[in-house]
Amino acid sequence: MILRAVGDRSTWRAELAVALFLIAFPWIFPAIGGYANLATRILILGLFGIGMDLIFGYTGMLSFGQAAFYGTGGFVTAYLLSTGLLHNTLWALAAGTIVAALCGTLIGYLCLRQAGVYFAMLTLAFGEVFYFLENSPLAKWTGGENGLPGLPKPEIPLGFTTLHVHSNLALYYFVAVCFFAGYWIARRIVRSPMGAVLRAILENPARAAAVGHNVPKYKLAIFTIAAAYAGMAGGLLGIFQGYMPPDAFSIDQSGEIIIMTIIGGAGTLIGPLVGAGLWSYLREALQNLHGVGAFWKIILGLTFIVLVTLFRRGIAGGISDGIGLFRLRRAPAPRTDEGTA
Amino acid sequence: MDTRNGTKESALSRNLFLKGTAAAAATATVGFPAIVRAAKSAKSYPALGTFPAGVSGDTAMIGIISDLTGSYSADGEDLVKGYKLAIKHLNGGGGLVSKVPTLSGKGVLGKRLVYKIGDSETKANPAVQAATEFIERDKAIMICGDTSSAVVIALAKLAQREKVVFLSGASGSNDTTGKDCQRYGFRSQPSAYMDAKALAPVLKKELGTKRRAVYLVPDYTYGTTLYDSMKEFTEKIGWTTVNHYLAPVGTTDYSSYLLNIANSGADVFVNIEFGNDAVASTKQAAQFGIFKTMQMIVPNISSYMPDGVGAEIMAGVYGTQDWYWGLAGNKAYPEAAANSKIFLDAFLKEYHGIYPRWTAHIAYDQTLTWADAVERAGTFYPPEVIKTLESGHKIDLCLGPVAYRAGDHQQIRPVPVLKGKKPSAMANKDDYFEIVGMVPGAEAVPPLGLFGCHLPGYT
Repeated sequence: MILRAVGDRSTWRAELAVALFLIAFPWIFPAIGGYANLATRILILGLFGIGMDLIFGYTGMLSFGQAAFYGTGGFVTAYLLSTGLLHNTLWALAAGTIVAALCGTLIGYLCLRQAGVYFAMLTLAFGEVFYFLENSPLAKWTGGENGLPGLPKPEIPLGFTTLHVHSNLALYYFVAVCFFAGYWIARRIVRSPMGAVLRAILENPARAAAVGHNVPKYKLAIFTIAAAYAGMAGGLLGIFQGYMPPDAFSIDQSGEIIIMTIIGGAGTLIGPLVGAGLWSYLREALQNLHGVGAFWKIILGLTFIVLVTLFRRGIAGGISDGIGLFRLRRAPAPRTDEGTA
Repeated sequence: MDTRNGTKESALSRNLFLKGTAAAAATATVGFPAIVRAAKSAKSYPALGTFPAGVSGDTAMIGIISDLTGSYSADGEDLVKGYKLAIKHLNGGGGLVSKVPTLSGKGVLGKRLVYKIGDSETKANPAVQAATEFIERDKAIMICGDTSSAVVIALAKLAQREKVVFLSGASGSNDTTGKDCQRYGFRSQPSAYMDAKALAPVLKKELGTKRRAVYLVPDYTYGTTLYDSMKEFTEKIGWTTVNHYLAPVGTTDYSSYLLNIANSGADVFVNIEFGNDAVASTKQAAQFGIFKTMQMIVPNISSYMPDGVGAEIMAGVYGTQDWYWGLAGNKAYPEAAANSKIFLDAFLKEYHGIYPRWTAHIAYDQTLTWADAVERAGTFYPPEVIKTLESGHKIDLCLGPVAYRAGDHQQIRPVPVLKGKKPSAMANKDDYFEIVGMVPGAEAVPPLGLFGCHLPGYT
């Protein structure tokens, strides 16, 4: 916490590091058996996870229904593009994000009257409602269990020219730009006065209210923003694969994003990306290991148990703690005493 | 400066040109026959999908997608066994490969087959993800697999978009070769319509014409189309449809549906559930006492359903399967007997006494059918392979001579109708069924176009 406050001069350093990483990622990833498409998937989940981190890591609200917004954003975008109602990928993506955010406001309005485990249960219930809606009553538009195939490759008119995003690497950089925009906005939010209020709500909601902050309003705002992140990630998923799968709405999806956020490190913004990277990479690598076959899930599960036990603030949290410890050790003796006292 | 550079460059390129010519001349004298052969097999087809990138080396990669985990994982495991055995035989000889004249047992068109397996978890997204990677990264020349029609249709659409041939694993939905049919997708399993049409005459003969049926239906394309077809054909023989209940895939507690079914007043329980869901729902139905008052029918019996629910429950149950090992050496069905025996023996040997189920049969026969088509086309170029598969040429495998229908890519093949044996009548622990009949494919298939198939283009 102290480190974060100290970082005023280094505000841009995290952004720069993330930008450099995003540029280099598809080039260094193949060294460990990764490839551009897997990197793209990781970024999409990382973007989804930023929203999860904003509500869970920064505000302390555990939502089990984020897949509802992931799916909503995805299916709205996919519907607009696959039916040809919109040709501009960015408009379709924006429409999906906005509809997901509106759903977020509605669900948030209904769920945020409760806190803690009751809030979690309500979001779980709404997540299931959305899954059911997609599968049965709205099947005419969503394709039900079949999902929506046939999304064209992204076309982005810039006025003077139209970008045709066709190769895997181009798709990666398209998603990377979206991810970076999402990360940059999230950084601005958590470092703003609003971010301070959110952390106050995380630590003690009653005290935050007592000093005059409108706690429900802040919660609703951040819940809506998180839904927008989920919606945008869902939209990108459909655009990326050319197919929007029904399982985007599933409870598994909500669970996975929570696990990725916690493994990677909640309250770090970049943690979910780390978690998603580890999850997706291990998933691929284990399935291709000879003799592992159907046991990949067990190994993945055991790995996560070990990680949660070792890193109580996730991998990203653990690393930043490690750097903090290193800096304290290197500092002059009197300050070290203060630090450890 | 400029001029000098220019001179240097042209000198360099002249030098290269001379070297190149010498090399070409050397190759022409030494490797001439090889080049002619390569030119003949390539026949200068344009690049399409993963062709020719996927077959430029000495291997050809097959991307297998199956349910290693998930609701249909038992069937998925059997499916993978079938693919592995087929690839082993195609690369090294043995099994039915020796019975197909075009197949050498030394790979396909001289390319050794390699494969990777991706877990679909019985969900469309992981399946599409795995298939995309096989196509993009590994340049798979053919993709195949899965056991859920919803997943199979998603994969076929991906295959159509990426122009890579896709052979569906287990898929019973009418939509697979109906409204969702694809030029790049092929299906050998009988469709829901074929199952129902084959089953109805047997039901009429054995159970009479005044029955009242209630259905438990998995809520996706396979379940709903199989329900529609069963309803159509049982009502034609005079049965009444009392009600049907839709349950999502992966349901663990069927009590709310079974309570309604138990109280429906029906005397026939048609269980359309598949895989692990078929086992769970049937076991729970037994606990509800449903089988005391109702006869069960399972129009398409999952590979490991009898093992899961036990022979006592399966005894007297009517249904169909894509293939049943009891055809092996069965004198009543001479067309299927000999080849089924070869497949059964090879499978038992490979997997140390584990019996193959029909999902393994789909995998095995379809992979050989594809390899035969590639050999006869003389190229891996997808449109040529597809046109060869569409040619109506019959290949003699486990079920006797079979071929795909050009108009919708449904295989025209006989449909085995089965009845569960009593435990006392079983010859061994895998001997769950007696074969009531084999309905010829031509009699069972729906008229072309009934389910709205319009095949998209080749390129």
